[in-house]
Amino acid sequence: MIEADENINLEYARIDYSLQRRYDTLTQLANSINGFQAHEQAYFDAITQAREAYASAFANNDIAAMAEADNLQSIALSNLIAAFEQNPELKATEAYGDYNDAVWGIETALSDARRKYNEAINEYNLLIRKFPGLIYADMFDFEQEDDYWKVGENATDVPDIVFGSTGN
Amino acid sequence: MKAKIVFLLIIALLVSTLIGCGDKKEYPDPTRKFYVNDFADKLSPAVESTIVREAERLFEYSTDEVTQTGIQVVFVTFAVESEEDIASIYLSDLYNQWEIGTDDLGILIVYYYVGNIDDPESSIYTIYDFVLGYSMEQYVSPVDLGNMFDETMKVTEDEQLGTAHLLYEILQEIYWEIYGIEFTYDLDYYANTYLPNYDEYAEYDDIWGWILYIILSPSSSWWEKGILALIGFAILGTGGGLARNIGGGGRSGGMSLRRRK
Repeated sequence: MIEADENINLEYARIDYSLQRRYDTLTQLANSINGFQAHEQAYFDAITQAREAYASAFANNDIAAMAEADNLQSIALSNLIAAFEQNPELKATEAYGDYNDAVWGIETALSDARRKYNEAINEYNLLIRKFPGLIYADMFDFEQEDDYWKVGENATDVPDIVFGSTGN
Repeated sequence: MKAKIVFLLIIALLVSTLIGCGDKKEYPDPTRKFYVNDFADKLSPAVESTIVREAERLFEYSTDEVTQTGIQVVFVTFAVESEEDIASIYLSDLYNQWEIGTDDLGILIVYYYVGNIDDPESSIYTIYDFVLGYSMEQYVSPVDLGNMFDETMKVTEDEQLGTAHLLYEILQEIYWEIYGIEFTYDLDYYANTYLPNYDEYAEYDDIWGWILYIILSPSSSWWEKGILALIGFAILGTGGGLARNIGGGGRSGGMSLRRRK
């Protein structure tokens, strides 16, 4: 039971790590469109807003707010990818294919971390509600965990990436 | 009476706890070769042999006294009816079940053949997934893998040669990034000499020849016969375990790359 409880913390740490990496990639992506887009500042603002929302939620240990900040980052990322798609000059750069690969890698790792975090919570909850775990849970005050990482309706798990460098 | 009920309750508690400890396996176990698991039956024996030989060589090199890690590169092929079937396969779970690479130093490469699973030859297209172990992320990135794919599989119609080329490129990257060693290969020789002349039975000739020599030849000594008998008992006793490659205990966080062709 202690192991299941600790597993939640471990998986939570993985989400945090993946979000940090996504933020770094988002910043790189935003920098790469410098001089190519008319409303560049809006992309930086969206990233900064998502970052601040996450930092605030993290400080308050508010999982629901962290998931919401995760959604904001997803939206900022989707907008950036759309900016690449709409600009032929940007799309033709060699970096475009590399960014696709980097984003795919980070998003799949993040999606995996979210899934495993939710599975860890589910496993823990089942453990403390089923026999014989409920006896231990009652004896040692283990409480049900309700903080599932809920991805918003507007944010897909993995952005719809066009595999630009493969030519399909 | 009360003591009996308490005793039965304790037994029930222990039994249920033990039952709950059972391991669930979602995915098939790896084959004995471990480094190549051609479930879709699409890879040629020559390429399978190359993958196993080079992957074993890398693992042995990386586990020696100086380096002490245990890098594993594993290839898998699956035949699936549609892309929806792929969505239900979590490759990080497969990676973790197979425990690829000691200290999380591994790469899992998966080929999905999409189409009629009863007739893999007629597959419509192929999707390629690459999954990195936690520690391998430091040395090889999805961007590196994407570039390797583009320079190997993408530029050839020959999937067997492309696979060998991809393997060599991955090995080159690993040897260089982790050990600073330049790994070289001759793809022309591989394509024009090794592949056309590969005899899948030739590799066994020496072993069988040696076994027949020990059993039948009057020149073989009794201690040689004894060693052969011991090896035979060991293999039978462990269900062939002596010849089996296994995972190094590694885990992955799902960092991956996808390509299609």
